[in-house]
Amino acid sequence: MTPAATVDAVTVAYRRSASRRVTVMLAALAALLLGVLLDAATGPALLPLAAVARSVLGYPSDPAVEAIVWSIRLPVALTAISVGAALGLSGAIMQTILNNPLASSYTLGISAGAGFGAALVIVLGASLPVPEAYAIPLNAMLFAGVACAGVFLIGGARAATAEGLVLAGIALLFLFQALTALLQMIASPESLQQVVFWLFGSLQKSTWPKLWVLIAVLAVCTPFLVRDVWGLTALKMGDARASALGVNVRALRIRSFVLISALTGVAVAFVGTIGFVGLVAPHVARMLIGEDQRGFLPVSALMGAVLLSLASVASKTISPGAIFPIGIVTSLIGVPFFIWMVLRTRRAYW
Amino acid sequence: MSIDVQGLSVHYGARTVLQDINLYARAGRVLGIVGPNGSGKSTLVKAVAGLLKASGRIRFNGSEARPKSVGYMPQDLQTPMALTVLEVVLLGRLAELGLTVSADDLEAVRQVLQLLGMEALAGRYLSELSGGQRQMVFLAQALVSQPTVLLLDEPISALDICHQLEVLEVVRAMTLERGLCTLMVLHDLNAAARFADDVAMLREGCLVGCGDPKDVLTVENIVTGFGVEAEALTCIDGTGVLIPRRPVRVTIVD
Amino acid sequence: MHFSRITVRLLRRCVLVVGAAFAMGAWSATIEVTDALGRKVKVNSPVQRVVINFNYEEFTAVAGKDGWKKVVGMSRTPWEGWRPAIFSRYASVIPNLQAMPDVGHSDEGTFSAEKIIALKPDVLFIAEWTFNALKTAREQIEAAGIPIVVIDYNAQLLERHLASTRAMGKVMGTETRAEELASLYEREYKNVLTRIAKAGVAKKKVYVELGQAGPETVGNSYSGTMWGKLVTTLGADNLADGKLPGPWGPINAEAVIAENPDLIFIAGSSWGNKPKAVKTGYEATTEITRQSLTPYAQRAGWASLKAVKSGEIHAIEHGLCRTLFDFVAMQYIAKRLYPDAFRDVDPEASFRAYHEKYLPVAYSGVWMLPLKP
Repeated sequence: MTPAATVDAVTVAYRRSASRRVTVMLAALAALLLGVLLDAATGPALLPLAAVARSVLGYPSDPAVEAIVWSIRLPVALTAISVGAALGLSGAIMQTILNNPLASSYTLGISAGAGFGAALVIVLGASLPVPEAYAIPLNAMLFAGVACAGVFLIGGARAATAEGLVLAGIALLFLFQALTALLQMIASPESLQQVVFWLFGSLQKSTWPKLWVLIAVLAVCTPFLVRDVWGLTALKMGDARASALGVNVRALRIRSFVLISALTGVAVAFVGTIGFVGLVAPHVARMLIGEDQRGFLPVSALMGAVLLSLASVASKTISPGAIFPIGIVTSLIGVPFFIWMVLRTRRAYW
Repeated sequence: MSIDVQGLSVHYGARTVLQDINLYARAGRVLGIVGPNGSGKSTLVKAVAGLLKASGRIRFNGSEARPKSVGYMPQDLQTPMALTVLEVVLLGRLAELGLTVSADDLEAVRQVLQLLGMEALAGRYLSELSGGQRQMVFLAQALVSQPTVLLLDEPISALDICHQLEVLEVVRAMTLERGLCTLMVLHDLNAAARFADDVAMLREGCLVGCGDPKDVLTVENIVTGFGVEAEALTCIDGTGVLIPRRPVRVTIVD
Repeated sequence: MHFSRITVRLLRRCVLVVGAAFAMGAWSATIEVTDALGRKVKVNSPVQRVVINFNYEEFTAVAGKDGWKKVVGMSRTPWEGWRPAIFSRYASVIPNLQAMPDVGHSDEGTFSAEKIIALKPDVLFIAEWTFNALKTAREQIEAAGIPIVVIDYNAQLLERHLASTRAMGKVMGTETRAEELASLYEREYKNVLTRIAKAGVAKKKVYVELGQAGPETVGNSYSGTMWGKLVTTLGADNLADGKLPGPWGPINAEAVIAENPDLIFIAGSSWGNKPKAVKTGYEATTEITRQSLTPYAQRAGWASLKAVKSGEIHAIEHGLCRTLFDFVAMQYIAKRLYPDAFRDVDPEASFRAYHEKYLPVAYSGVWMLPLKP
């Protein structure tokens, strides 16, 4: 083996992974853009594509089209990608720190906790000092935090092993689902309807102010993730090896849980519980780009955004003129896709 | 680098896992640590790596300060399938890594892979490698930060014979070449006999013996330490081998 | 020469100004309307395009059959879905009703702000329950510059009935007719209350249940709204009060038997595929209605109830409440509660008269009937 050949192998490997990262991210961004445009172009009003394009590009348009595109469709499209990114990202982090391919904020009760928080306000909360529009998201975020804390405390704060946390998460999922069912039982018919629609998830209540909050939370979480990117990669090798490399595993898990609770809480607060995005997006990212968290985390976010964007388009085109609940669409898209991915993979990737 | 352990004790709550361990490991030599399950071998290595609270003294080259780079290879069987060899070895430089990988990082990886003869595997995912190759990758990870101390916890337990030999030979060669101080926990007594310069035998947290393999790995010590009767045989090339004695096979005749 | 040139210039300017006025529609006046919730809404009058989501018979009465020419969108489910037989009668006399675009129904989550905006209406008439359920949608509609006028007949409050009627009349430009209807309603409403005040009879217990799913299922009762409010307004005790977590819902069957009501009203209608429902409406006959009501009287434990024993179990059209003609229902129930005070009042005649004067469909069928003739 000549020296020239050995230099090549490592550099080649490095360049290949770097260029792959770039390619995948660019492709994902392109898919994202397409998703947003499609999302803006579809809707119950069945507007012609040309009219929508004119309005988006800033040309003078019919005021009705302007109103629809700018105050209804664009907030929905941009909220879809923001929420998708938040869910994909939190799912990615959760799967890494809990070392479990089925971990996501949906399967581990974080979303269920947020859902319970929202239901609490809807069914009981007329007596809160805060107007209902803010009370629901705030309480949802609060209870997402409670669920995260519960997972951590019950899962064994001392040892904080992955298995313990996963079991705690499942216990909390059942707990919050039961509590929400209890609330549904005592709810008046209008509240019940609201709760049910909230549990199905809906992008239709998106507004620009809510969107800014979503983006703000994503922006604030990013630097923290950047700092921990190598620690999270090291965690993939097991707690012992990660500790050996100098990672404070317990602190890393706690920090990650705080991030997950913020991301999940804000996403669920505004659009209700939408499942499968946090589960499927990281798996797609892993197949495309591996577990190096420098690529894995952003691509998970992008895949989540693309998935939810496509789901939003699908929810509007399944029955033209009506809107199909998006939580159902993500499950219907997510499950077969997941099965196809698992069957198709040529190498073990977990 | 030499390691001087004095009066090392480790307690998990009320349980004493290590009791008053004294040993001395020299640079350029491999110290094999053997003993039955639960005797505290992993705990000893973790204590030296600084991952546990321990009482007593551990001196590195005479000073209490732990050296910056200690290459610790724990006995964790979790393998990240979706990471490449390059990425895993890079993680060994976690302390120095920024968001982007620098040329120095790549050079260090290059050198260690070259040393272990694994350069061609740089771009392969761990899922594509054999068990022995994976252990070599983790060894490379331990070596990439140019440590002066190498702590290996059961590096060959899950490998077949030829991969076992491969890894042990590399460890031994590295230790000699770079003057490392290597502590290696082993289950296989014969491997310890062959590849370790010194052997320390533990039993229930106490040191039963420490020194030359011939002196420590005796039939009497095996009986006291493991509770197993053994026979010592000598091979053609002069190396000693221990064979545990087992009952005579019983045949059923009807 | 000079003179004519100045004249021509003046004339040209006048033409320009008038033309601009035409173009901007500046000759349409902006009127201010107070809706059922007391909101002051500015609407450009006359309106050419209307979207309405509930209380269609009221709209027809107030705006007339011709008012429908201006309607460009509606929520189909609360009329076509809930009262299909009534809907088809109206569809045969109102040309654009059958194919009217559907803007969705808030209960089903299909109410679409997008669709409404795309229809470019000059005004949106919306029921109070939709207005309160869909804050985001209504903000989007208002942001698009479409005025929202809230109508509320569900609350069964006199002021809101009158305000809704007058608001619709003002917007549609049929104020005289609206005023006539408002006065009629107020007169009849107050008449009922006056007679009750004079009657001075002990309070009776009334149980009202929606008879849609058949006697094996306990249907909804109402408290504080719709039938519940009507019953309490008429000075009787509404059995459902205090037993419901919200404004409507089913009561426990045991509670009904334990309370032993003096009168029972089962609300029926002409639903599409509800074979076990109590049947009332244009197509009903006394035999049909009695036949559908009898199984309810035969419910477990009901034979011993005061109401059943004294023959005070009635079928009443559910579509009579929360409307401009719910005074007819009030008269009927009041007649049963205070027979002496209402001896000369004939609810069927009132309803027939209302049809002849204000509705484009002919009166027929059975709307309120006791089980025992």
